[in-house]
Parts: sequence; structure tokens; C-alpha cells
Amino acid sequence: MIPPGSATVMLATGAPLLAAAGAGLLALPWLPVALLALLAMVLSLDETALAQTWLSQPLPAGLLAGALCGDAATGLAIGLPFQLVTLANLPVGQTFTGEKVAAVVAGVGGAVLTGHALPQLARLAPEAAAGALGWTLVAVCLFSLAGHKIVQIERSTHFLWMLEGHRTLWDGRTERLERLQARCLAATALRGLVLCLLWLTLMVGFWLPLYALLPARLVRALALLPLLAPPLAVAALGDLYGWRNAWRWIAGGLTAAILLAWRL
Amino acid sequence: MQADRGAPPPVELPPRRLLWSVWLRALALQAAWNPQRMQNLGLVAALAPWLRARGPAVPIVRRVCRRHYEFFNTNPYFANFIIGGLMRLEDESLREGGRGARQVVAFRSSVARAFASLGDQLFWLGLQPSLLLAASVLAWSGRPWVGLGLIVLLALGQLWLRWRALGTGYHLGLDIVDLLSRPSWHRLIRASQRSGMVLAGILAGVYLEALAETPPGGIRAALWSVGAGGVCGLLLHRRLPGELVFLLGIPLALVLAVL
Repeated sequence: MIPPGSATVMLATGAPLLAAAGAGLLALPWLPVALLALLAMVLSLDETALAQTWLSQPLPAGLLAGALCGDAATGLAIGLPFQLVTLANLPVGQTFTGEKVAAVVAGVGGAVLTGHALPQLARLAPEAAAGALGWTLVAVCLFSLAGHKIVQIERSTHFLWMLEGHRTLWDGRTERLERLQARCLAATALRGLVLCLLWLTLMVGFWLPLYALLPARLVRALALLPLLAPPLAVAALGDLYGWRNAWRWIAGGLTAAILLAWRL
Repeated sequence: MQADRGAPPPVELPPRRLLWSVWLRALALQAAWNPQRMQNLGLVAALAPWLRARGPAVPIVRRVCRRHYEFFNTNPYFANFIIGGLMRLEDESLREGGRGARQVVAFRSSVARAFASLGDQLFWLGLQPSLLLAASVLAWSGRPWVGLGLIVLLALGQLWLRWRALGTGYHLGLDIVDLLSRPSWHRLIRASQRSGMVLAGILAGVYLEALAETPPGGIRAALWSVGAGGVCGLLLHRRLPGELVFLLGIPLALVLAVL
């Protein structure tokens, strides 16, 4: 039984927080929010369920979300480092892939719609702006990790629906299987929509306002954090192909890039 | 010219409209992905238009569905080779009064495994990292829309491949094994993986150049990058997701911010 005091505690802490976050979302212009939710729906389908065109990868998704909100540069500022961070999350078998679409779309939408113009990775920028990029990327990573649990629940639900399809093995009605497939697609689209709106609410009402309260030392650390993305990508690739095999090719690319930069 | 007496009769492909219906449903092969039987529902849903077009008696429909509602997993980009092949073998089985069912199941299982391995090597471990790294390098150098264009081009290419694969799978039937054994697949895999490695090196070069040009970065940022890269390598080797490795970088960044 739930103790009677816990509801009071929830009302005293959680409810006002959620109400404030919800009010933050309602204060945003509705058209970009609706477009972002639609984009999250479509790209969530593309991620695994339908076509898999890779437009749902963080870089294109961030760029498209930014363009929809009228600031493609901020979309790129978030999409590029997050792409590098998740480069080795490959959807092979049952391995970890995260839930990147809703996370990146909400991250970009939250930043742009609240007027945060984030700087590009490793470019000259004030510490506060670079810190805001790091803070947003932390949120996007947390959303992606949390969303993965939802994806796992969704896939377990697919199993239950798949069992429903066994009736076709008795009556021979193949239309049922197509309806079940359509139901799974609808569930994925709905998951993208709901997660995008939920993450956007948290970004606008809670996460971004919290940034102003962070101590200066943490802001300085957050400004350094996005610089972790490129080394992480290179380390991921080296690990993926095996360093013994990869180091010559990576070193070759590095030398070529440095020589080209030096000549230009 | 007279045809060879021993040559098999030419294979007549199913109508284009039927292939189109199967292709559309096969795009959603993984929509009902589940940990227990993976793509089984997607496979039978993709075969459903073909089964309806053939219009066999209900007991035969039930048998075909039962055969393919078992565990099925392959690479989604190559799945249509198998779906096309299954349509051909099932057509032959229907003509022969349901014989050859074991052969159909053996074909599906063995070819699915081979295409899963080939497709994962080519698409997930080769083309995807390479393409995304190329798009990232282009974005970094101020051409993000060119990178997006590359991704759109590859998307169109894979949709075309899936369409061609359906017809090729049907045309080849059991002979699809010959297609699998072509050495060009492995050359393509090697080339795409090597280009991924080179692009990772280029990314590192572009990044170090950007750090050198950013005054507050300097030695501190370069040290941070090299040290963090080493730690990331160790963590990634333990199969931690990239997001978690990134979050584990916060304490490291805090230490560096204090120094």
C-alpha cells in the first residue's frame, strides 16, 4: 500500500515541477513544436522500422530539426557531436543502439525555440555558450539512454502482438498479419511523437533554465565536454576495426588532413 | 537461333504490381522486430500479397504461413534477395503439389544467415560509419548540406538495391548461392571499411587543426583530447554505449577545469 504521505510529497515536489515544465512547452510557438513532433515521428519510423535510410542518424536529424525551427546552425552544433558520440552504436542483432531520434530532435528544438544559439564544435566561442552546448549534449545523451528502455518495452510488446498472429496459422487470413505490422508501425510513430514532446517539455521547462544556476567550475567543464566527441569517434572506429588493422589507415588520413591544412 | 535442349526454361517474373506490393511491405521488415523471433512477422507480411495473388486453398496458406512464421533474421538491405528466392521456391512447391517444403526452409535459414553476415559487414560496419564520417567531415568544413545530399543519395541507392534484389532473388532461386560467393562483395566490404578508417584519420586531423586555431584551446584542449581518446577506447572496448562514455567524461572534464 502506498503511504498517504507520499502523495503529498509528490504534489509538493514533482507536480509543480511538471506543471512549470508543461507551462514552458505551452509558451512555445505551436507550429515549430508540431513540425518537430512530426519529424520525430517520421524519423523514428526510419530508424529501424521502415526503410532505414539513415536520415534518422543524429547529424541529418539535427540538421533537419534545426532547419524546421529556423536555425540549422544550432541543429548542426548539436547533431554533429552527438553523431560522433554514437558512431559505434550499430544496430546489429540485439546490441545497444539508444533512442537517438527523439533525443536529438527535442534537444535541437528546445535550444532553438528558447533562443539559445549554440556554437559549432571546437570553434571560438564564449565559455558560457560552449558550456550551454555541453549541457544540451548531456541532456540529449540522457534522453537517448532513457529512450532505449522504452524501445525495449516496445519490442517486448511486438512479441505479444506476434503471438496474436498465430491465429492466422489456423484460419489462413494473411490480412491479420499485415494489420499487426501496421499496428507496430503506428506504435513506433507514437513513441517518437510522445518522447519528442516529453523531452522537449523537460528541456524547455527544466533542463535549460537549470543551466543559469550551475557553478562556474561546472560550466568550464561543460565547455570542454563537447571536445570529447571527435576523440570518441576515432576511438570507436579503431575499436570497431581493431587497432592493429586500423592504425595505418587512420594515421594515413590524419597525415593527409594535416598536410592539406598546412599547404592551404 | 535454336535454344539449347538442356537449358532450363526462362523464368517468368511475377507481375510488376505484385512485386511492388511485396517491396513496399518488405521495407517494413523490421517493424515488428521482437527479441524471440526477430523479423518473422515482417517476412510473412511481405509474402502476404504474393500468397493472396496465388490464391491457394486455405490449408496450403496455413502451411506456408506456419513455415515462415518461425525465427527469421537477416540484414534488411539484402532481405529482398531471400524474399524473391522464397517466392520462386514456393511457386515451384505449389506447382508440385506442396513438395519441396523442407528445401524451402533449409534455403531460408542458410541464405538468411549468409546475407545477415555479408550485409552487416557491408552496411553496418562498412558503409554506415564511412558515410556518416564523410558527412561529419563535410559538415565540419562548412558543407553540411552536401553531407546530407550524400546520405540522401545512398538512401535512394539502397531503395533501388532492394527493388532489384526482389527480381534477382526470384530469377536465381536456389542459385542465389552463386551470388553470395562472388569475391566482389568482400572487395566492397574491405574498401568501405578502409575508407571509414581513413575518414576517421581525416576527422582527427581537421579537429586538431581547429583546436590549434582556437586560442583558449591550445595545449590544454589537445591534452584533454588525447587523454580522453585513450580512456574512451578502453571504455568502448567494454561495449559501453557512446552516450554513457560521453557522460563518464564529465568527471574528467571537471578535473581538467580545476587544473
